[in-house]
Amino acid sequence: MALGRGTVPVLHYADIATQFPLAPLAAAALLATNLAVLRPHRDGAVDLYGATRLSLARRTLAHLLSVLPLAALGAVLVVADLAWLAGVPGSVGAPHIAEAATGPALIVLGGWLGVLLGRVWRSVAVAPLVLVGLALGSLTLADLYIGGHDRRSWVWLGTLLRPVTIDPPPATLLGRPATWHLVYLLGAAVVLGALAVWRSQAQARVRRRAQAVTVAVVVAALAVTSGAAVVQTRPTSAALATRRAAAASDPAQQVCQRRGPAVYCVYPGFEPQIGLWEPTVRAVLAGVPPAATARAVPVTVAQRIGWPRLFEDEGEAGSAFDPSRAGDRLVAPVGTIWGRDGQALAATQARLASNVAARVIGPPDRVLEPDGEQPKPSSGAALEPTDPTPGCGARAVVALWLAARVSPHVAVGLRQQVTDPRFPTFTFVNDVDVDDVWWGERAGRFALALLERPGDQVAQALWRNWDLLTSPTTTLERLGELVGVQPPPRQGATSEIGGPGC
Amino acid sequence: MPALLVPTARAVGWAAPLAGFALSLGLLALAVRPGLELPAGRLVLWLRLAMTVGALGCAFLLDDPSEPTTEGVAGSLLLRRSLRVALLLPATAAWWVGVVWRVQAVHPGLPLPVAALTLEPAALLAVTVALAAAGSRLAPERRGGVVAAPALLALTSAAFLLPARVALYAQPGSAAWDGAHRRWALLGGLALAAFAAASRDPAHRRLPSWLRSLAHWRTRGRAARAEAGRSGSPDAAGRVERSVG
Repeated sequence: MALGRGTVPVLHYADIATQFPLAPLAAAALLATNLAVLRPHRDGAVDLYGATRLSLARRTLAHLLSVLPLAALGAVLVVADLAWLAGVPGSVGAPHIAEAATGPALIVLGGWLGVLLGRVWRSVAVAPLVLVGLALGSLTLADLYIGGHDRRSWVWLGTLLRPVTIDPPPATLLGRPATWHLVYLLGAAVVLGALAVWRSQAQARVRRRAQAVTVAVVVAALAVTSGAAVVQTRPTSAALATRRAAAASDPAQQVCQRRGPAVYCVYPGFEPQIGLWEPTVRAVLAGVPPAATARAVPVTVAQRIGWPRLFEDEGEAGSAFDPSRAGDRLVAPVGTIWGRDGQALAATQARLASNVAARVIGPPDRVLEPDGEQPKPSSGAALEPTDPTPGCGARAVVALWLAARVSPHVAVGLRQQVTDPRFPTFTFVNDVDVDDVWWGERAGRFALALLERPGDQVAQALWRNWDLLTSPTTTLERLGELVGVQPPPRQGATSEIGGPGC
Repeated sequence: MPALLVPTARAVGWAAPLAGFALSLGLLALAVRPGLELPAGRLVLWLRLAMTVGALGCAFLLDDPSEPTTEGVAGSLLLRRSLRVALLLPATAAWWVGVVWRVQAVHPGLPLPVAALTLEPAALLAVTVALAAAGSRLAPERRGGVVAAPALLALTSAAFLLPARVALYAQPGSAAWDGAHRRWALLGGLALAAFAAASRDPAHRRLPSWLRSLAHWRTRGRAARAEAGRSGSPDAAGRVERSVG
């Protein structure tokens, strides 16, 4: 799920998101400084400048300094953005100073490259071509890094990195060489700037000693840049991999709080998000008969992250998912991002509400569904549900109906998933956790049909027959008789993928 | 006209357009390569990025510092500029064939609407030369590329952000595809008209009558002021000279 403006900010992720929007400013700096450097050539004023006391090298230096106000503007924009995000209720984490400074560093790099290009070639055609080459070349590199988040560490040699699109892990598990990347960018910028000055000195035949100083700066900056390039492209350290594996498999890595009818387990630092989830959990439980609530409470809500995409590769990630860790009580998973409005809120709230409802209607039994088939995953992740999930039969309809009554957003999220009839089952999340419930598509359509009916009537019918309806063996047809709604027809197309499903 | 061919071919700065084509092909070869699974939408996006890079080099096609000195020769400005565009056409065609071939060769199963897609680079190139022709009036030494290249980058970036109702970059097979290509054709036609309008020969231009009378009135006014300055104090004459210089 993309981390967009519609989500509650995670500041150690939001700082990364400031880099991409500053890229147009960096591109503008490249073109503008190049045009400024070449202006005397275009206007036939080279000789006029030659008559002034300011040497060519100093004029080059002045062009280099002219980029700094633009970089300062970029920094102001970044700080303003992060300050505003920090004020949003429920925001967590703290921005990394190197990630936040990367955008302004890109502006400096672009501007100083423009100066160098102007000093080396007098053609204004060079800068735009170099610009598109750099920008698209970096995107090409980023295209190659599909699969794991740090599968190919050499993408860090690019200038423009596409934003990461997994749920944000805790800051200590992020594993981005942000500081070294910043050093790399600034080092490269100094190399380019010093080369531009050296070129001007050589053109003006300045004293050897002044040239030697500039060359020394170039060499030193080159050494720093290469060093940073080597360090930032090192593969993920074994210690970090161990810590990630521990965070993925060890419940003790999370801090748990009991609030009302639920226990919330989050990664350290994510506590402010609990307050965002509470109303949803309470709203689901409010729709359940008191006797059933007493059996189900406390429900455990726990944060989960799309570990497979953070880890090396999908195949190797399987080891992180240890079904035995679940114990006798399954948790209701929730991501580390939470929507603020629109699509993001619909998806995240639907995931939490439906998972809580699944835990309330009863633990999964080790009995196969009547037709003996397990639901199959619908999207890319290679995870098979280890137990018959509660996502099929009458109780799935009850759970989805409970969830969809929480808010119009959940109903929207459910409608979006159900309108894709190609798959027999669905979830509300891209990075599916082993505890996420796979819902039957037909059950989803039935729940939507129930939503059309007056809520009180349906609730009465459900509460009267609660134990029967939450039994794993009760079919949709039986539920239809009890609530007086015809169940939706089975769709033949679903049998193409993964068998009949529910 | 054949007599113009050789001098025009010599005057054209070939480096920028050819570098643009080469860069475009190189980036495409890097992005679209065997062993890398890309969804169809991403492939079309790379095709369009390649188009933009190719067109970017052509923004400098009309740059000709010697243009003021050749104004006196036979053939209008429009003819000379059209000749430049025509001289580049074989290279452009070869570049576009190379782009399409690369995508088709790596992804043979992809149904690519080549004819409709070809309309996009054609219109984009027309827009580019129109921008260059218009820019040559603004930039010193008639180097319109200074204006045209950043303008092209800004325009294509904006085109990617257009709302769905007036989208230019539609996905193949989508409902917006036909409408988008009608817009591309319209855009190409408008760009060609703008190119022709911006390339009218300054020497043969006839001003509208009201503009001519205005210009006449202004010259008469200036002559009268100069007359007054000459007959007045030496101080006033100096001011007039400075303001003229």
